[in-house]
Amino acid sequence: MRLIYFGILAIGMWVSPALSQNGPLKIEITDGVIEPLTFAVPIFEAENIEAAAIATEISRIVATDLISSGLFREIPANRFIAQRITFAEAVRYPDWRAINAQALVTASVSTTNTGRLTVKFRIFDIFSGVQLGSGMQLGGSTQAVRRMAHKVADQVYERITGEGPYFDSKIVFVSESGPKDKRLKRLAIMDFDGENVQFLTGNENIVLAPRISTDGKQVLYTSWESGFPQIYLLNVGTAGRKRLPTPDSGMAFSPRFSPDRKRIVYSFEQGGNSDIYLMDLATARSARMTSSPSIDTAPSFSPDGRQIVFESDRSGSQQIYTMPVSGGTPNRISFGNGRYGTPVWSPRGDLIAFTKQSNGRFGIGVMRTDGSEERLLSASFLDEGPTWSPNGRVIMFARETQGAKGAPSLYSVDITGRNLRALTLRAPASDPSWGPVQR
Amino acid sequence: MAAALAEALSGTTSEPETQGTATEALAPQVIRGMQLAISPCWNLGASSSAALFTTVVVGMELTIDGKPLINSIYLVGYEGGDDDSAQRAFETAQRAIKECGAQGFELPTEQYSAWRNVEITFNPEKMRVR
Repeated sequence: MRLIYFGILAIGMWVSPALSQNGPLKIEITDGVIEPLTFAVPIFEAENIEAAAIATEISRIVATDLISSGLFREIPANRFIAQRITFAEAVRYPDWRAINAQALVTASVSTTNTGRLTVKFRIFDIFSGVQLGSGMQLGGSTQAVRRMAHKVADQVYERITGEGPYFDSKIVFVSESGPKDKRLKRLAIMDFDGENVQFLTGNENIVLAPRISTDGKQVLYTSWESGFPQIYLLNVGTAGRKRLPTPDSGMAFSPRFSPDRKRIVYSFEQGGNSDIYLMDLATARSARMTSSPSIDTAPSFSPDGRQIVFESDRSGSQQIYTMPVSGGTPNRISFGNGRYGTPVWSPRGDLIAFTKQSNGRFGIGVMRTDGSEERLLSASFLDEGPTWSPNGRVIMFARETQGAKGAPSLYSVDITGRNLRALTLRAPASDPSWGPVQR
Repeated sequence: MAAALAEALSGTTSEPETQGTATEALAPQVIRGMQLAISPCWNLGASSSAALFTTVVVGMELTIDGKPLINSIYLVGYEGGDDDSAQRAFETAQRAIKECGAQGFELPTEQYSAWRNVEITFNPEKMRVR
């Protein structure tokens, strides 16, 4: 496309004497605005009467998803000029421009008596007066209405922003109950928006730090099931679990999958010293990666699987280090005031998210992989444990409130630092781990 | 071709060689007025991270009453990012031109030849840290 545009430019310059003599007027715009893009999602058209309720539900979920990203603002239906918008009719752009809608999503929904659900939809750029891309069609089951809606929202989000999708994804977390000093914890999994919570373990044993695999099918976590911390591998589909073979002579914790899911990194503590280990899941053999008289923990792979990032107090205070998986000297990358922990590499590979403790407060931040351009995105009594959305645009973390009745809950924030919002859940929650977009 | 893009990407109001005689004739406040007219509609709120690192140069032709000829708007070139982010950045720029140019930019009709063809560089560098 770029070459075509260049061709047009070249032709214009050669055939137009006025242009070749004077050239176009050139101006530069460096100031713009940062505001959510306004959009309209009229209730989707039902092609058959049985699809009416589903069409309404899907259209509302699509709108809610887009709003939740912080990048979009919905124009309410009571401002629409035409009150009935059908999928087939031509878009009346002036009507939508008049209410300042910048984007429009129209769709039709049909169902069959065999439980088949089909959604056809189009996206329009109102001020440019064009349809964005081709019309799209998704098919699925009437039992998976929410997933279908998230898929539609993902397509709209992706087409307009250029970011990858993330609405149709799952998050594993620790669901908590009971008083603060006797908190019961169990693993759970939910949709990205907090819906469809399902428990993966009971609450008989303390569980910590679940980490979902890059295909979303397995979860690593730390459990006190054996009486002291050990690492377990859980199958999300069956909820079956097994303990991974680490020595009984110490505590194993803080595991994380490699991107190809063939290896894990974890911490192993013995005699007050913890180091990072690498385990090949096929052979169950572990190899020591760090060896220092310090606490090395919270390892996380880079998305290409060649490096890890972890926290260590080897310098005298808790800081972030990177090192090649193949071995070598750890490279300290955090140098600001305060203590840094729980680093997590972005799925894009460009940033590392972390928890920072400074001046008695905890916050979530990001920095480049060389430690530059550090930015704090949140701060409170206790913010910790960041996890990346699959597109690397959003970070979720746990925020705990102060006091005897304090409890954790989950928050998300855009990597720009905007759109900090709490996830609505029925019970306290901590330790989120964001899975991939579902296939 | 590469030289043309480099010129477009580097060209601002400060380079007489790349301005041409027609631009020199325009008063600075006319150019500033056009910048101020477009800026409020250049909304980067729904831009991808990559698009915020992509500078696009957009060319167009204006009618005598200062309105953009919709079918004349084209992407001259881009710097930073990739084809995909350039396309999204171009769409955002187009939206700004069409939205804020719908009523026509205030330009001196007697100097139509100086502003009939315009190339606008949309540089998001300052917007990344907001």
